[in-house]
Amino acid sequence: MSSIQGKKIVVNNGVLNVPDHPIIPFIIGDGTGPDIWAAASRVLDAAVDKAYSGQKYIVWKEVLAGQKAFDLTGEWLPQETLDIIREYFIAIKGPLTTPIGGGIRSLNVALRQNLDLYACVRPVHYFKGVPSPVKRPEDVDIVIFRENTEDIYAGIEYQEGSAEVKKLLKFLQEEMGVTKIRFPDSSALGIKPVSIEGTKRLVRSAIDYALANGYKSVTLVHKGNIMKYTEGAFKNWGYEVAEQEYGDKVFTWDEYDRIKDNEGAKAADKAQAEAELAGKIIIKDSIADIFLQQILTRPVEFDVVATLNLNGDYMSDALAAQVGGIGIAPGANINYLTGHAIFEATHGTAPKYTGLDKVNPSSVILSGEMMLRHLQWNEAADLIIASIEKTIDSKVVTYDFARLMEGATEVKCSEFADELIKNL
Amino acid sequence: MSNQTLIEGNRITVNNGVLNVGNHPIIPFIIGDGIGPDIWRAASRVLDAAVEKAYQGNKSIVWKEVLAGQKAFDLTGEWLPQETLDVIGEYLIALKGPLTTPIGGGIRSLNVALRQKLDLYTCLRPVRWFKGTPSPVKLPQNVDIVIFRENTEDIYAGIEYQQGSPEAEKILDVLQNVMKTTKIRFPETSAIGIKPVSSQGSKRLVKAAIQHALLNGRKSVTMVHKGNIMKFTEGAFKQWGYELAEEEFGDKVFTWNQYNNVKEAQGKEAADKFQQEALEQGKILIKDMIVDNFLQQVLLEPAQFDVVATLNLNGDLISDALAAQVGGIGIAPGANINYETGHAIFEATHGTAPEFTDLDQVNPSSLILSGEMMLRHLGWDEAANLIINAMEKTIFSEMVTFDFARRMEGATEVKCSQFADELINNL
Repeated sequence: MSSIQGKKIVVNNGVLNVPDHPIIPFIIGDGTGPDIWAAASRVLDAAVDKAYSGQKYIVWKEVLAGQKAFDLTGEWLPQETLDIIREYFIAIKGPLTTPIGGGIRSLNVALRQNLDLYACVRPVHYFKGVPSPVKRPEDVDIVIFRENTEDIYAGIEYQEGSAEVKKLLKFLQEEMGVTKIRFPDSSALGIKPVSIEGTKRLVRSAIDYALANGYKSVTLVHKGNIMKYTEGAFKNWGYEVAEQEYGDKVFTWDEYDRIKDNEGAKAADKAQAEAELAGKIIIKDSIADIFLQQILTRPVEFDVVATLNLNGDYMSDALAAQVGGIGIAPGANINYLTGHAIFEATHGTAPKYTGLDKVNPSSVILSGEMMLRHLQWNEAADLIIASIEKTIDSKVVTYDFARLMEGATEVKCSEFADELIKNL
Repeated sequence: MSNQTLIEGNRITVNNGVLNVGNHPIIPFIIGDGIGPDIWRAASRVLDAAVEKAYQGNKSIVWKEVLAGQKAFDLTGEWLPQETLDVIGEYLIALKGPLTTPIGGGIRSLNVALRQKLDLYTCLRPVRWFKGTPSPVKLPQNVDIVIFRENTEDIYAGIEYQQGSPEAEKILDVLQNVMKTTKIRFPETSAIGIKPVSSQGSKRLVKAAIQHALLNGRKSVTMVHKGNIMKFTEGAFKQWGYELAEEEFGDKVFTWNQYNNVKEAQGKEAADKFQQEALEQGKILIKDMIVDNFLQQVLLEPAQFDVVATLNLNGDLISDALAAQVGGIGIAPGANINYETGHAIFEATHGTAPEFTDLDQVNPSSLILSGEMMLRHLGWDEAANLIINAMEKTIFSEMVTFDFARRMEGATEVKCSQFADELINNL
């Protein structure tokens, strides 16, 4: 009985101390959530069991959010849920229903804001056999670190014709001398804040991740050619944090440019080649529109990507589509400083499939895989990846893939989990 | 010399946004820097030959050079002489090669100066695949999309305040203490950008897109926005677009706004039926899509899109992503247009590639296809069609410049001028 109770994960200076039987809160999710959760938890448990022969296991602890929370408690996101996740640090979450007039966003945003989960981490990887619109999806293996708390995405906006917008327009025109608003009389305004602290903690997390996971580069993706002081500053602050805090572990394009200016392109190329040979991580940058082109034309050039909130939203989704992974993309929202992290399905609740045991559980399973890796249980995580590769390649898949694959065997959500467990 | 009068040409005029082109319009051109002269020589020959073939000498373009960029600077000491702006202002339509980046200014400032001066509020970017072009996707032929990108506002307007500057402090103070916003995560170290989106700016852009769709037999206009997150700017763009469509195009369009109204009142079946009937009557479907979903759908099911109307930053990202998808980064054409005043500049979308200057090596297709857009804009569709056909035939025959040749198996690499010769042969 004592082992079933499990132990709390603790965090010291951002470093997780994970016991052999960690208690991990889960939000089962609405709509297809219970089907997916039943499948995912079985796969995760089986992988851990196989990897550690019973020495380690997860003690799941359900917490409420979404429709289920509302039905049971009258609240969409009970305070108790927030308190428990705060206490236990790591959680996993299924898709949540949209509360009327609020939006699924408000639940996710409330979780993110409450725990200040500043990094949205989205690995994009191709699984052999998955139907994809591009010729070489296997060239994509990119982990996106999307800033999660600021940018134009922060939701600071003033409606056209409102008293607020008139006030702000008057201030901008009369006191800031702004003349670049083409139609001030009929404009709405949005505000885009980008900060040093917000940028540096995100880029730091991306570099740490690249170092810990053996990636070769971190690319800062920005639109600094047009938005110099916000997106351009993101890039500059990113280079700054890389050079100041990671010194000899990285080589930046900023350094490259300085060498080039002083000693010429040859010397700069040589310095970069030496840095690569020495195993340093290359910190580079790419303009957002060029990046969107190059993920199509030469995706192998990208490993870890660090970018602002809106860019990250676009890039994650474009890349997921490119590898055929819209329905199976995993994600996590993490604060690497406090240790809080929520791993989650990136798709919706698909209410029409509720209880039909039909949908693809891969997004939550792969989010669980990210979670295991985050806990340093890499052996279990590796088993899951290998099993998903094997299962998809054998064409035993749920309906969403089956209809796009020739010669596939369509299986139920639970049967797909059975296959995965068999292939562990 | 007997056609001296023809060579003088006529000035294009505009009445209520409708062009009166004449048979021998004078069209100013900016030759462009770096590879500009090479591609200009190739492009003008192809354009002239297409017009000649289509109209047997009854129509011709009278080219009039105007200066901008390095050439202007070398000859006049100015990067963008007032005379150039005046001449384009007077003659309405111009064709432009790539321009050098003035040190400390940026190529952008020349292009932006032209756009702002003439209030060219639409950036028009058609994206299609030419058979044989190397592409990273399996079905590039399913892309045939014309993007109308708003060109004068959005976060792209360049209203920004540097972190730590007195201006940033002042505006942060107003945002927090007067506007009472609490959503800035790190106000102490934030830079601030401003995103203006207006009903006037949105409506004139959407109007241009719908008119284009009507004029060119397109089936739909999709407004692409991030209104789920930015309700008052991007969401309003969508709302204003629907409003404009219903108010000004009444029975020529059917909008998803109308669809939703019918659905709420009479149910989904009635709404589907209503839409089906509207489409059968040849009405244009006005719909909308969230940007991130759009970026996925252009990869998965691009055939659902015809004309796209979108805000400035979205349009920038979408145009470039789509160009890459069809293998068209080096050959994408573009135009900046004010449909109300009639001013329009058609232009190469690539840079000056100075290392290839005068080597007669690069691909002139971007400028040629921009010229093709221009011909169509003038109503000279016959000549424009000849160019599209020649381009299809030439690329498919694998007689291409080095940029394509190195990515195509069995291709014959030709020079820039020879590629123009081939196109002229294939007109």
